[in-house]
Amino acid sequence: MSQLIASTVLIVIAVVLVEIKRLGVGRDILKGTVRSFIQLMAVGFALKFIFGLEKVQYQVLLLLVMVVVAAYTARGRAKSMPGAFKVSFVSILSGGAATLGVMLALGIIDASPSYLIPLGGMIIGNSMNALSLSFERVSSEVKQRRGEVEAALCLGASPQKAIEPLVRRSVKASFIPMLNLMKIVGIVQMPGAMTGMLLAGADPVDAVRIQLVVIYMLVASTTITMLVGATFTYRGFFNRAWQLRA
Amino acid sequence: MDQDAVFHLSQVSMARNGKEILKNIDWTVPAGRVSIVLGPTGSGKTSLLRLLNRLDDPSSGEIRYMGAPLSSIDVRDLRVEVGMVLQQPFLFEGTVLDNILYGCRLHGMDVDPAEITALVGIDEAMLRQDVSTLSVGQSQKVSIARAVALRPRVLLLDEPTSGLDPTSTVQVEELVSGLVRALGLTCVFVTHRIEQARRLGHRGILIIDGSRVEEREIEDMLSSPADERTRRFLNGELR
Repeated sequence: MSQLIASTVLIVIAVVLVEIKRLGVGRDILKGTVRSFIQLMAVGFALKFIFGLEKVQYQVLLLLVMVVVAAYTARGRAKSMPGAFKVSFVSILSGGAATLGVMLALGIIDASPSYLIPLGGMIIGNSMNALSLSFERVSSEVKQRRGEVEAALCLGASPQKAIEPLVRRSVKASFIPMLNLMKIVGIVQMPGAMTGMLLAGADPVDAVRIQLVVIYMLVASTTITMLVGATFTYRGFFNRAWQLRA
Repeated sequence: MDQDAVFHLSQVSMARNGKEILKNIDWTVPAGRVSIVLGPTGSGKTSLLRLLNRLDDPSSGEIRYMGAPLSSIDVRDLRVEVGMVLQQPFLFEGTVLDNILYGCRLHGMDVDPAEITALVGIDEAMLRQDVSTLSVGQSQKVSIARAVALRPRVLLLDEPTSGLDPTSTVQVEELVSGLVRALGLTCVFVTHRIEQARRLGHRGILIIDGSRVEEREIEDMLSSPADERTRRFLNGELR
């Protein structure tokens, strides 16, 4: 706790600097500091409580709540796409369930809250980001390339077929952040899980080992989420008469 | 109803975002002829054409295709039988051949690309060419070839020459007339150009502000307009 109290000196330095420069954000920094303290402490106590619950049902319930929140957030990036919440929910759930399922089946992790909740959170968060990017892009592609889609519809193409090239391009683009991360990991950027373990005093090789598991896990979950999402994305843009919605 | 009618529209209206785009249109499209949809820019011509292959649906009224209500026909079957060429030739990534065979591959139809290129007047050597290297005129020919490859009964053309130079425009007009003669196609051609309507059309419907002004033989309509609005349009007062 003394470390935490001492670290508030850094906030004081920041506030003093912005006040000297009269940037007018000193009050916001202080508010943000108090808010983040309360939020994170609340999460800490909540996790302590959850980790104490050994029953898997509670962990699954918590993960489901996280998926609902993530799906709702991803939907917000594609307001013009009807049914985005349902598509997000099914996609994120599939990516998360399949990845955690494989990890449990292969004995990579135990079915304990200290594994399932943080790893599940990482999977859900990353899948949400990738899906949001993909939704945003596919929505703008449909808007810009309406003619291309209608040209395919005019030849009797199904909505899924007509929109396929646009979805493929969008999904491909959404992989870019993850592929970039894999290129620079450990060289330019120390990833979160590894940094956390090093700060907690873990052996660096152990930290790297866990980080690699995390990366592989995220590759699989994002891929599954994106592909499931791509399968259903087209539906929201068309009506039953195979017409593009206005 | 006319036995030779391909399409028959009665009291068709269409609104979008609260604005009425087409108002109580009655129209019959005869088989095997070129029907012109004529009118000033923004009068609702394209909106009318889009109803015929169900890219859009009317808000009220009835459209019949070959005697059957349009909404009762499977959309895929309808769009294979009623081909459409859009104003801008949106080609898919790939070669000319990929584009010509796009619909046929979708529906498992066998077609000889050489036959289509001969029909449309595309040099066979162009088949392997990437579509990104084509001129607008060539692209529009490919988009017509792509629609014709499905052997449609009807071909809808939405101002297909609007972005073309005079030479390419004449080529496309000759192509359309040739296709109607060679294949017995029924053709619905949207244009705002009076001379083009005269060169191409048999029958015509004049649309102004979403309403039908006249519908009859195009030559009669252009030489002896029966409505004051037709006269104003022909005099260039409504463009």
